[in-house]
Amino acid sequence: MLDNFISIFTEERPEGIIWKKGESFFLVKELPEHHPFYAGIYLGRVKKGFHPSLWLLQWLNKRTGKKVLVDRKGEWMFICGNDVFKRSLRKVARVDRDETVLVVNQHRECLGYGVFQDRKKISVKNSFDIGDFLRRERPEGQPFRKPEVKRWDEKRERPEGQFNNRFDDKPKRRDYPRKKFTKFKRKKKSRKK
Amino acid sequence: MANKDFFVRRYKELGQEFKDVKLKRSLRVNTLKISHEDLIRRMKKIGITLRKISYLKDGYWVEKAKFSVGAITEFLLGYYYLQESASQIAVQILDPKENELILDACAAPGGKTTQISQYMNNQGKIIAMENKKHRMLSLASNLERIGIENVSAYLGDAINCTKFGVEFDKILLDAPCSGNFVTDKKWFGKRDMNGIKEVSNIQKEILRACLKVLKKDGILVYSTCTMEPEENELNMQWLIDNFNVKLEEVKFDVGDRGLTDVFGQKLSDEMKKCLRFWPWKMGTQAFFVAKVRKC
Repeated sequence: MLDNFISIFTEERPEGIIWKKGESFFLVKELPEHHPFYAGIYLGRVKKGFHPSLWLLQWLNKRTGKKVLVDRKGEWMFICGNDVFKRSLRKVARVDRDETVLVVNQHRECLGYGVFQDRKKISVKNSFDIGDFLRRERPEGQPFRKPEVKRWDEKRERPEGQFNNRFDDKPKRRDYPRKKFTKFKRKKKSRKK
Repeated sequence: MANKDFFVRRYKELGQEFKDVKLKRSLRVNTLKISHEDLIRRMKKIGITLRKISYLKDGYWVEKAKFSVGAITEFLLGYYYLQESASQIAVQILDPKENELILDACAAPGGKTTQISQYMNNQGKIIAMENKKHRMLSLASNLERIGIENVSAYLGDAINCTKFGVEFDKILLDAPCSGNFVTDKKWFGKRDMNGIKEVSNIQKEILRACLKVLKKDGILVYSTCTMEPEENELNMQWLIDNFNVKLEEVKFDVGDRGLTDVFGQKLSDEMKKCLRFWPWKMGTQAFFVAKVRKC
C-alpha cells in the first residue's frame, strides 16, 4: 500500500528500512527491539485508503510535479476536510482527470492529497489532509461532541436561598391575557407584464 | 468546594498567600522546522502577536490571536508546540546533548519529549514510556507533527524501564502528579490528602526504578506540576536519604527556591537547590524541578 502510494508521485524511495507495525509504516535505521509503539520516522497508515504522514507528504512534495497550488481560502477549506473549488486554484501542474495530486499552499507546503477532477465547481476531491491531526484523536464513529448548552427555557439550578433571577422574589404577573399570535402573510408579488 | 479552604490554609502555612491565576497561552517554536523570526513574521501576517518569554530558549507568550492557535495551518505543520511556559523549563535544565541516550519516563502527550529531541537536533536516542494507550496516541500524533526522528515510544509502566537492559546518560522524570488549580478549575473539589499520598508513593516507585537504569554520574531531572510538598521536596528528601545521590543546583534566574521547612518538618538545606514556580508569583501553572546526580 505504501509502495503503491509513493509510486503515484515518484519512483524514488525513502532511504532506510521500512518497518511495518500493524497498519502503520515507519522508516527506521535498524529494526527496533522490544516492540515499540512508535519508532523512527512515521510514514503513514492504511485506513480507508492510505493516510500518509506529514513527513512523507513533504518528502513527496520535493520530488513530484503532480500538485495544485491553492489560495489562502482554499487552504483553509481543504484542511477542514472540504474539496478544493476551482476559484481557489492558483496554479495547476499538467495532470489528467482522476489523477492523484498533492495540494500545496502559497508557501509551497503540502497540505494533503486528492483526486483531480475537471468539473464545473470542484477541482480536487479531498482524499486526505493535515487537518486529520485534529480529527484523529476523536473515538471512531463518534461525531464531534456538541457542547452542553442549556435550553433558554430550562430553569437554572441554584443553591437554596438563591433566586433564579432577580425578579424571582416578585409575584409573577400572568393575570393579563396574552396577545394572540397572528400569522404574518406575505403579499403576493404581482407579476410584471 | 470545601477542600479549597483546606488547601489555601496549607499554602499559608508554607508562607504563601493564595491568589487565583488566569493562565496565559504560550508556545514553543519548533526550531527543527522553522526559525524564530520566520514564525513570528508568519503569525503576525495572520493576526497573531507573539512575545518572547525572557527565561525560556524557544518560548513565546501568545499576546493577541484572532484565531485559535491550536487549529491553524502553522500548528498542523508542526511549526510550534502549544506548551505551558513553566513546563518548558524542565528540559532546559536537563540540557540534552546530541549524542546522548535519554529516557523520558512518563512521556505523553509529548511536549517535553519533542523538546528534548529538538535540543538534540534529532540525533542521539530517546526512549519514551507511557502507560496509557489513549495518551500514547496523542504522543505519537505529536511526534509525527513536530517531525521527530530519534524517539522510540513504548507502551508500558515507567517502573519497567529496567527491562530495556541499558543505562541512560540522562533521565527526565516528569512524574504523574496531582496537578494544580491553574490548569484544572475543579482541582480543589477533586483532591484530598489520601490521593496526594497515593500519588507520592507511585512517584517514589518510579524514582527508584529510574535510578537503577541511570549511569553513574548521570543526571535525573525530576519535575511535577503540583504545589504539594509531599510530591516535591519530601520525595527529594526521601531520595537523598535512601540512595547514593546528590542534588545539584538548578540555575535559573526566576522562580523560588525549594522549601526547607514543610509544616514544621525540617528538611535538608539541599532542598534550596530545587526550583519552584508559585502560580500567583509567576503567572504560570505550578511547577517544581529538581536536578539529581547519581554518585
